[in-house]
Amino acid sequence: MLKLRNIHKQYSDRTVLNGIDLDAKKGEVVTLIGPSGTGKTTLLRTINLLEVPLEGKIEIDDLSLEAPNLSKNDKLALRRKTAMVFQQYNLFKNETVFQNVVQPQLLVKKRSKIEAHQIAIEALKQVGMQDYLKSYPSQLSGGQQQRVSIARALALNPEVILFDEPTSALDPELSQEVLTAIRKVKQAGITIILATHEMRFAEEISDQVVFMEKGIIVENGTPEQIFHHPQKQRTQAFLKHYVQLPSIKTVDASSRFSSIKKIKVV
Amino acid sequence: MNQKIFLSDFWNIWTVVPQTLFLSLLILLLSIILGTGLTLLRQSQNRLTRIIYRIYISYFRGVPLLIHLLVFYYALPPIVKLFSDHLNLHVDTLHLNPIYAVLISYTLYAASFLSEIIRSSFKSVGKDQLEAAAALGYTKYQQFFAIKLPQALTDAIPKILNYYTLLIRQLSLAFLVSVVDIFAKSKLESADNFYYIESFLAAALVYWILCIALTLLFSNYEKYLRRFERSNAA
Amino acid sequence: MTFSVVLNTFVQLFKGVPVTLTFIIFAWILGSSLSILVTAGRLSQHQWLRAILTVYVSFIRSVPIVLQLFLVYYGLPLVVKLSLGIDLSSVSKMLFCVITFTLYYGAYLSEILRPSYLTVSAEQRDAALSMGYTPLQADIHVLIPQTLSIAIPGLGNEIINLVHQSSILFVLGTVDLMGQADTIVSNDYTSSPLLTYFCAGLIYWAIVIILNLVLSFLEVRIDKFRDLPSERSLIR
Repeated sequence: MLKLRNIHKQYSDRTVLNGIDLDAKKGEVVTLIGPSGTGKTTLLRTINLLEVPLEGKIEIDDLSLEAPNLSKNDKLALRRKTAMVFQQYNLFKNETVFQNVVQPQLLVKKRSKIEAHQIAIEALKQVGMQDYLKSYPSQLSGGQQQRVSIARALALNPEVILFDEPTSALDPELSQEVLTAIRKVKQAGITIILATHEMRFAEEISDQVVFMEKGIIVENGTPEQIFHHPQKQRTQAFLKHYVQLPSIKTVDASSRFSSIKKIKVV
Repeated sequence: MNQKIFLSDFWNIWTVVPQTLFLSLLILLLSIILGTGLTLLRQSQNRLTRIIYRIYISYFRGVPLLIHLLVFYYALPPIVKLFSDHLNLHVDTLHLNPIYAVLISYTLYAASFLSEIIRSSFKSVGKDQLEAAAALGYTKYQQFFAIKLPQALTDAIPKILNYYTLLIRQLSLAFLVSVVDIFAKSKLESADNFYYIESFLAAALVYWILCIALTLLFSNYEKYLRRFERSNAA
Repeated sequence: MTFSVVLNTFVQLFKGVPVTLTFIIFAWILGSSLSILVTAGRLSQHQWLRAILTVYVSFIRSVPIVLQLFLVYYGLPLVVKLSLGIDLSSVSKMLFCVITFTLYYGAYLSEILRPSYLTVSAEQRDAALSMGYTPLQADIHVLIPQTLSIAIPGLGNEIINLVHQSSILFVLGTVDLMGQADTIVSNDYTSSPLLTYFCAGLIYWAIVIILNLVLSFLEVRIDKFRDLPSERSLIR
């Protein structure tokens, strides 16, 4: 139901995505793994058209778009079928938890207030944040903010939710609550595209694992295939790193926040 | 619009630019000294001193500069006379140069703002920097002069230079007490021939050129000062 | 110098207070409205519009306001007469004052609004767009409310600046607070200029103190979603 064909993206003279093809069935969880700076975030942002690809085709259900000539309405139509969960949560700072989940429904889905309120409460219950309706994002922990941001995405009933390293900015304990929330999203039958460095979680939750490097897909397959019988040498080399240190968690913020150095917590 | 008069006004006005720049600089330097003193008052342990500081700041920021200027213009001669009579100095208080009123009122006023700049600059130097120095065995004295002062200055100097260009503009009020700066000169130029527009436009152009030139100069200097803060963004 | 002299001075000066306050309100409303347009223009895609506005802001920020006041007072009637043939010589001086201050604050306030808007992070816009907000919806519901909360301390300082700078109007012979002080000094030779100006200063001081109280109250109300108390500094 999600289909990407030959996606290319370039920043000035640097090629970030060099012909990406990807298919995801309805309700499938597709995990993108690979070294940082390899284009995972860019790919997610492209599926949402926050970045317009240089060329390529994006299809979701019956909607089919051919880059780069996209109108405002094309972008809106695509974005209304998708939602995104960001590394830095990106909750609206000027709104309470409740408003954060309600407002997009009113503006984008044109739901009635009563309906939006019910759905918001339901979504917040799913991620266990129903007791924080009146809090502002600045008053919450990172894990709590990320759970609200998942509820915000859920409430829009999108076809696809894109997760951009949702636990990378979090401590290991806080990551767990977010991962639990992502399992809930899977149970709800929503298609998930997830970029992550949490290999164990990727193995547990994925239907399809995609190993990316330098803007291309090196190898993809089931978790079993990729994690236990990788075919390509590059995949083996990358995964060896994680096999040797099974409990490693890489906090990688270097792609967008150059001031934050890469920290490894063992 | 008389072009000939405009041009002659324009060149005549440039003759007072040096003294305008100098007077503003003098005020700036005096108010840096006073502002530093005020910052020390603020950090004092004594409650009374802190109250004095707060009243000073509130008064000098609460009352328009124009009024400070006029108040000191009228207050200065009797005060000087009092001292002069007491100490037999025989100062001619009837013909006291109004420039003293400008100097004193502007310095007291500007110091109330500069003390804030200076304070926040010292505050901007992180504790971690001093701890690092202490850990390496720097003495308190070395910590201050090798680490804290240079970093605070890097933060303060651009703001102080920015305040300098503001002072040049604020000095335009000095015409009220017949001290001649750029604006006062343009008033004088038009006083004889009544070509107001020409002289005011000429003055505006002088200010504009001056301001752009100074801003360019200062921002280049700021870039140089902040060279070690340059982020190595990917 | 008796108590009655002081009291009398205050009574006379207070006649100018309503004029000063009315002027401030008008200049603020018009100036901030203009600044919103200027900010929108400076953030727009049109390069020529941005260029014109940059020149305008640069000029206003380089020239002292008293000189701008004279330029408008002497220049505007001339321009209007030459271009439209309308005689402005009988128009109230206050009109020229309001025009000058509107132009002045239109530029200065945009220098506060524009950086505030740019500070509201790109991430907030991404979040809104990713869910299918239109750019206009993102502006109205997410970016502008946050811009305002960032801009409010700066805007508050500018109101106080406006109060102070309104004192310069008297050079045109207006009847505001400072104008009253000037009238007392030049008409009544028994009056003490020092006392008169000092008393006028005290009234300005009181206005500023009251304004500061109102502003810090407003700031708390509007800024409720920001965890860190912002420190108001009076320096621009």
